[in-house]
Amino acid sequence: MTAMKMRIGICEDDPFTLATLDASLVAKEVEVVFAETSAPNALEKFSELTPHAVLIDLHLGSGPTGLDLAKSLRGISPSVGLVFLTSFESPRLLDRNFEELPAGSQYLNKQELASVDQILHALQNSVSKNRKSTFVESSDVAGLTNRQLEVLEMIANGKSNQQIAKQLALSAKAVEGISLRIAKRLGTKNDQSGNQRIQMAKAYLRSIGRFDN
Amino acid sequence: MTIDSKAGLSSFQDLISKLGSQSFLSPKFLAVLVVPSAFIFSVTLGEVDTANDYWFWVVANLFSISVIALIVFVIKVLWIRFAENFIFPLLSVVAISASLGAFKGWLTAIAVIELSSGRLLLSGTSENLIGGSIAGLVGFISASAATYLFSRFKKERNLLVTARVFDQLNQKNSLEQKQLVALKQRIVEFIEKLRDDEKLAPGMELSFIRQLVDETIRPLAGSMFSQIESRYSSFALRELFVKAIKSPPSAVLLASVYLLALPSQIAFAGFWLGIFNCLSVSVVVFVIAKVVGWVFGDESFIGFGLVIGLSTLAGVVLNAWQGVVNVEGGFIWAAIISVLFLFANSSIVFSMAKIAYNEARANRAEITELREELQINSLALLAKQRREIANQLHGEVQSRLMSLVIKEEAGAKIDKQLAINELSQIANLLDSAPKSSKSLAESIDDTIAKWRGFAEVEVVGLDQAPESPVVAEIIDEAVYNAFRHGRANRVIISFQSNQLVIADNGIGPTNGSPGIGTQVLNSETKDWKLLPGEDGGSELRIAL
Repeated sequence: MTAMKMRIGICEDDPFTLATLDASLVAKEVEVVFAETSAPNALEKFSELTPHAVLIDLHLGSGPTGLDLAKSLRGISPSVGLVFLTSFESPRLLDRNFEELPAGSQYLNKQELASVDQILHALQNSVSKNRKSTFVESSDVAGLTNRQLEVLEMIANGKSNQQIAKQLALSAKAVEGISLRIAKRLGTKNDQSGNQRIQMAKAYLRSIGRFDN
Repeated sequence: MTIDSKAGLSSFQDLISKLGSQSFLSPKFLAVLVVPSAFIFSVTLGEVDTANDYWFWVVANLFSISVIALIVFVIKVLWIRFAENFIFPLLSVVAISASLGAFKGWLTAIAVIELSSGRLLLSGTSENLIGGSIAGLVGFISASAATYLFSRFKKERNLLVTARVFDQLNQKNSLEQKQLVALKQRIVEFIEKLRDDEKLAPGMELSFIRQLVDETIRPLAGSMFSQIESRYSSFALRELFVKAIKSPPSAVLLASVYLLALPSQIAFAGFWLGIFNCLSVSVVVFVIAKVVGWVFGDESFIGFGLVIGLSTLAGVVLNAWQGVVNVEGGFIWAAIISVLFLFANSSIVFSMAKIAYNEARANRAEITELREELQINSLALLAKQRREIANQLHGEVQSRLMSLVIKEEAGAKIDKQLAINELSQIANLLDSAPKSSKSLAESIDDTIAKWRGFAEVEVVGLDQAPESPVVAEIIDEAVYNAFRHGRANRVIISFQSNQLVIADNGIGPTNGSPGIGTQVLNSETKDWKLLPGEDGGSELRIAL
């Protein structure tokens, strides 16, 4: 780290997490030039204040996602460092059409975060000359096809095969087949360890950070 | 759930007009009213000179009742399956009830003849046809009236429960609104103090903020998050039952119940004497119920017992005197028990129906009153509004204030000016607390703001737009889809005569699976199309 203070921006839709991140980074001698809860505000502040790096939550409510924001930021400044802080095991769980993360961006899972230093380290990495993307697709759920992901999401939302079939304009038999393949992929078994559908829902919720064991 | 309901239970005419609705031919009340009475009279009147064994009558009755029940069941299933909203005209209700009764009378007589090895036990089945049709009329029509009254009562009661909860929530809400105003007032006063008073002790800002959060904001947000617990029970059949056995039964209804015995009376005592027997018992029962009602008033368990006891006694004595009931052996007891059961059973059902009717009317009056007091009529809307304010208090307001405290603890220096800035912003936030409901224009503005910098949204002809939360939802969803699936960065929403056109500059319609957007569309209107746009992109056309 040079003598110059690192200037960063934060975009996180939960105000409390935002305030905590802001405060803890300020305490680590980082200059936080903006801390915003929505993508449009962050974009606006970014063009004005041009920080070295931006810490972004992937999920930002019902509008643009953190990925949309990241792409726009790189469009303005190709050298900006990007750090994603998220509870999603894979960006595909947020956007099924996701292709790849912007080059060199850092991916931090909220559940695996142990200290502020990890965030600091990621921010420093994101702006270093030979930056490398830290994202490795490892989630079981992320290995599913788009259709399988879609069906799994509906199962986790409590929909029956019949309801899913109706909504996706498929036959109930096709949905049953898809759900069997999902179960095989995820390795959930229909035995004493519990209802298979619930196991599948749990696997999904775990991967988006909504469920602990 | 809204508490606005136009349906009301206003009069006897209303009841008559609803006799042919789904409450008609209710299998439940067929079991409660028609089955026991038919069964009972087979026991009472079996051992008379024409039939050697009353068990013939029991079996014959069971057989004919099963056939009738099957017919009723089939009608009901077809009705619900194919024409749920169909209402039988009053005349057909009368005709169907009478024919079902007549058919049952005829079937019972035939069955008895069969069972007693072909010996003709009755003077003829034409008497059974006439008696049965009158019994059917009384049984089916009173059963469907009772069923209808119960269902009305249930609806009114649920409506009342909602209205009461709504009323409570409304009162709680206006109190919280006052607290919000007071909170803002405190903040504004403190800002003034920070500005004016040079000698304010250092750190005062933060201790004020801590106090504000701990003593005001947290409890207020907590109170807004909490729901109203309903202390009012909804429909309770048991409650009606207890009330019913505590009041003397209606004289008219109880007297008419004995007409259910008409087929047996005619069969055993002959046509004219049978009618005479039945009518004389009915008249005596009517007089007894009237007199007891006068003496004991509306609420009396003794009155109930006395009416049933005296009516049973009168019925059995009159029948014995006419020779319809055999006084010898145990049959007199069978007669007493069965007639007692008939009166008790039907008087409870009728009283319950009557109480349901009265309560439903009283409930309706309270509902009307509550509805006039309440400003908005959607419980969901009020609850949503409170949740939004609570979220804002708990989330944004509290977090922003606490972030000052956290920063200070983390070693950053908080000066007076920063505190003033932050507090002023909080005061502004409280001003813009979510309003009761957003107009279409406000909702569209929210959508535009949400996508600012990502997708440019333009609105044309908003003055022609219908004011509807659904339209706002459709637009929000359409912009999302245009950006996410259509990869558009420009969306034009135009309201034209009777249609809404949403055009974008994206990649055009893809064959993706239908999402939430189309679900909203399909639930509101089937009349929509997604087409390729004239200059590329796609165009969503929705009929309004």
